[in-house]
Amino acid sequence: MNLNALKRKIPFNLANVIMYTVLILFAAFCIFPLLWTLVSSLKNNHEIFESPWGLPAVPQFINYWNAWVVGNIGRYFFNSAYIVTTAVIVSLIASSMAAYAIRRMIWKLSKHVMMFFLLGVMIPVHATLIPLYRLFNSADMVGSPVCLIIIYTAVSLPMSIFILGGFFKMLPRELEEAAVIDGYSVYRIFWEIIIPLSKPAIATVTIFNFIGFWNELLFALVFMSNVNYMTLPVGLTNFIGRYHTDYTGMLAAIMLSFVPSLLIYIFLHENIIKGIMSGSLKE
Amino acid sequence: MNFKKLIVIMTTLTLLVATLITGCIGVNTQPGNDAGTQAMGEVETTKAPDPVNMRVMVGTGTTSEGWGKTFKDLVDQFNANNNFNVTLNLEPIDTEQYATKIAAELATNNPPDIFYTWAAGRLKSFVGSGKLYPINEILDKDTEWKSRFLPGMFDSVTFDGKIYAVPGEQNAAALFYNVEIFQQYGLQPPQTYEDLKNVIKVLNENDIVPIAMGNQDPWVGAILCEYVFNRIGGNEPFDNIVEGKGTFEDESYIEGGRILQELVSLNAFPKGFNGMSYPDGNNLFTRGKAGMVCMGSWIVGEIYGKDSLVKDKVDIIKFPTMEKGKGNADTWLGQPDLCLAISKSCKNIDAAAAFIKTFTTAEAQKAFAESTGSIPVTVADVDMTNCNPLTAKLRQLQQSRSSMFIFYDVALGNTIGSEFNNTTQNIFADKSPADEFRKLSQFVADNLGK
Amino acid sequence: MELMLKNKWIIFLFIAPALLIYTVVLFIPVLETIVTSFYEWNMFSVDKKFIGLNNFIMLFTRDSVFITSIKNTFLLMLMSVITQMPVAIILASILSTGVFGKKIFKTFYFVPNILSGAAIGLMWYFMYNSEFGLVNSFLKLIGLGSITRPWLGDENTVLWAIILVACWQFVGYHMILFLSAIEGIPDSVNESAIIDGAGRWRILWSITIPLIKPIIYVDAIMISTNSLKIFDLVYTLTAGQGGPNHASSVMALHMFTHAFRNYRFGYSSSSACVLLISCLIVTLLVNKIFKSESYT
Repeated sequence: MNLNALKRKIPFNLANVIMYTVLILFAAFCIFPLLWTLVSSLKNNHEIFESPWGLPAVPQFINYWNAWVVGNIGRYFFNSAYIVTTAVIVSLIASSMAAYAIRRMIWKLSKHVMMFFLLGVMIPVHATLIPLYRLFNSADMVGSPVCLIIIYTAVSLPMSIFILGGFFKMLPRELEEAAVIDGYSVYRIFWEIIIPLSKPAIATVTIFNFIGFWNELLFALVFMSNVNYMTLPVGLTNFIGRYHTDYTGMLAAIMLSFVPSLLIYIFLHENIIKGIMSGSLKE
Repeated sequence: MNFKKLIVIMTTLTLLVATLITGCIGVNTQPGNDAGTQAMGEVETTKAPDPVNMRVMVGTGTTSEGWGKTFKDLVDQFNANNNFNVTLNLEPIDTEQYATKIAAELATNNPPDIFYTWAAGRLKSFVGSGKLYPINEILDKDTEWKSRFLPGMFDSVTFDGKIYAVPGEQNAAALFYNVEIFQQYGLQPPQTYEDLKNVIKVLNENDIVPIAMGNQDPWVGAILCEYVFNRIGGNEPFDNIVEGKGTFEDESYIEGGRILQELVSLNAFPKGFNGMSYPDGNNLFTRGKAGMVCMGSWIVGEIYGKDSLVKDKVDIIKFPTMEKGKGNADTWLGQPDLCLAISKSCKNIDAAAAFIKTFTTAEAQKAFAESTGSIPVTVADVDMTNCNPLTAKLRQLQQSRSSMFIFYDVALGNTIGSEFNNTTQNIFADKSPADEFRKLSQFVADNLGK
Repeated sequence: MELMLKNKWIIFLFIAPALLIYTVVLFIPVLETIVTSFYEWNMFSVDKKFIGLNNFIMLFTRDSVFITSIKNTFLLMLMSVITQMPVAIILASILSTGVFGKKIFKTFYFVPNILSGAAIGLMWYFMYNSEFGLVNSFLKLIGLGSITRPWLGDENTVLWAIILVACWQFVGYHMILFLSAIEGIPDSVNESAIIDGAGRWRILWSITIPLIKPIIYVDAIMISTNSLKIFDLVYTLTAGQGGPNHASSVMALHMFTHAFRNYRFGYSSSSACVLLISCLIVTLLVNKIFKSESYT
């Protein structure tokens, strides 16, 4: 598109100039660290400290090979993918159902149950580490991926229920009324009406949960010391030796682990778009 | 389907395929047994009927080089050669979070069969759990094993007359200096504090950082501080504190604080050192930008590491003495390290002991000395022919060792120890030593015995 | 319809999975922690000593680090709310009006949230470096060279340095949340407002914000509780120390240190309790502010 067409699309006035400048500056501020991580992952360990802002003399693509093969990142990728995806799905199902019951169904205790879940948002997870470890240990489940899945799901439930609940509350009552008139059962209303209409909310919660689980370190470290089941963030710590750290390997691994989170975001954020609501009321 | 969606899907598919392939190749689990194939740090040998699996947990971090690799080799060797029908599963944990992990483990009823522990104060809290096996029972019967050790090696791992861990190596802190730089400016390695001040002055004039130090994590600088305090006051003040009858408000500490601040004012340390990370500080030395570094012997691994520019350019000396100080140059700061403990719930205590015993063979001691510059714990002379010159020199300097004191944060336990480290960091930041040590004394009084 | 929405069995079925997992895995351990806070226990041994409120008394009278931590945590929360929420709302509303390059901007703003803690810690360590850090270089560039200093190494500035990074990391997160909400507002509403002659700011203030109030409420709770619980960022930026002289220590770090470094589990549990109570108080406050419409 030529410059004139561009000018027509975006009126070239002061307000817009200011707005775009601000947007672009802030975007640069946000993206910069990612670029830095990418550039640094191609340096050798000296250059990281000698010239942190310069470009590498010779791009060390071998760092990525080292990370994947020697650092066994491939294996951890697989583990993380399995654990995180399962946890996200389970969490989504459990929380959307609970949020619907609390916000859209009519019963006396709904507010109290919401408050009960809300308490979970206030819990600093590290405080639960020891009691949980003992719990799973006595059930002989420590070291199994299942236990991380359960823990991640549980930790994400309060927030997911809370966020989804907020969105459900925004939906008009007319939806259910119309559906009931058409003879829908509660299950159908839930699966065929509410869920599709809540795509932005579900996409949002999925993104948050996926990224949160994907990057989680402490619980994964404590509950999974078996090298076969370790997740990515734990695998990253393998680049840290007892008294020496291989930063380049670690940075390459960080870039590799960044990609799925980014992909999930790109995949899902399309759903956070306008227009879903506007159509429904007219029908 | 638009272009962007296509890219996303292609990338996802590629990654998926890649991980599936690596995942499948890696997965080869045997039913009812958590051991996999040759994944990092994990070993399994197909033995005769049902070998007993025992867990060995260490805070080695990576096992592909250095300390971790040597440890893994020993595990592999034991698995291949033992008569107990035991297979050891090595669980290497990131060093930094090892403290967290071992805490969780010890809170349950079946902690790892064999695990790494620190000595002294930190070991004391583990012992308090009642879950550690008193190894003296085996050591007293196996006098051959016990006699391999240098005298005094078990002092800091003994509580109430019982030995709870076996040290595998020692490390000691010393002053490392860059010979090339010293020669270039006509400097001699400093024997006294006055010498040191002179060296600092000359190095500064030539834009070389005198002493490399990344003190964001204050244990780093505490090493130098502990030496200064010792050279001024001798062994007594600290020994008293450990026994519970001394105080940090002793003269030697206040005077030591003054010396430390003098060093700061002489620009002995890099700019912004109190916020500089430990690797960053070490890099100054291994890149040849600093003249000296006061650090534990483990830095030898980095000096000979693949990213170092100062291989074969470094020498070691004992920490300088203070004029009119009570401490002498032959008192060393260090610790028994790589201590392994056995849990009471260990499935085969004799096997565990046998494994730990392999650490004190001449070969094992040599391997550790080579990979990390650590000092052997055994009496017998370790063949140092292939060792790097620094380790050999350190060993030689240690021959005249008259006494040793342990890093404060290990000796005193983490609560008080890390508060001490913080105090030294504050002193470096120009706070009044008298005030700081008074606060520290109060802290000790409030927290001793907890 | 009423009858169907009141069906007890269906309600139970819908809540059961979440309730079960949450109660067993999250709620009960927290109760355990609360109970532990009344004991002196080093978490390894079988015997614990009941000491009543002693831990709490120690916390508030003899532990200067804890007092600093409380101050820092609340300051951080306040600054987070003041900076992140308005910026997030404004960004979200700008982006929802069909700005050119919207998708790219959205993604860029969210990237800080996707990066793992290790990467963020490492990068900002270099940013704040006193010699060649970008922050100081930038300041020198615009003539403010006199205020350069080692931001993370100076106890007066370390907390603010961390607050900046926190804001940088989380604005995108809140923005996404608000964007989801704003996108749900039908076009027709905005169109009629424009027809009535309302300017952009007027629309934002009088129409958009009231309509997304449920999400603002949700976000207010999220922002305050998340920043009260903040841990990873402070840990990686200060090498687990909480800054020189503990100047930037926060409650979660205090709790962590005493549990997993000093092995004083009873004491750290009491620290966790204070954190829990703080979150509770703040949540109740937020609830009160949003009282006009019932959201719980």
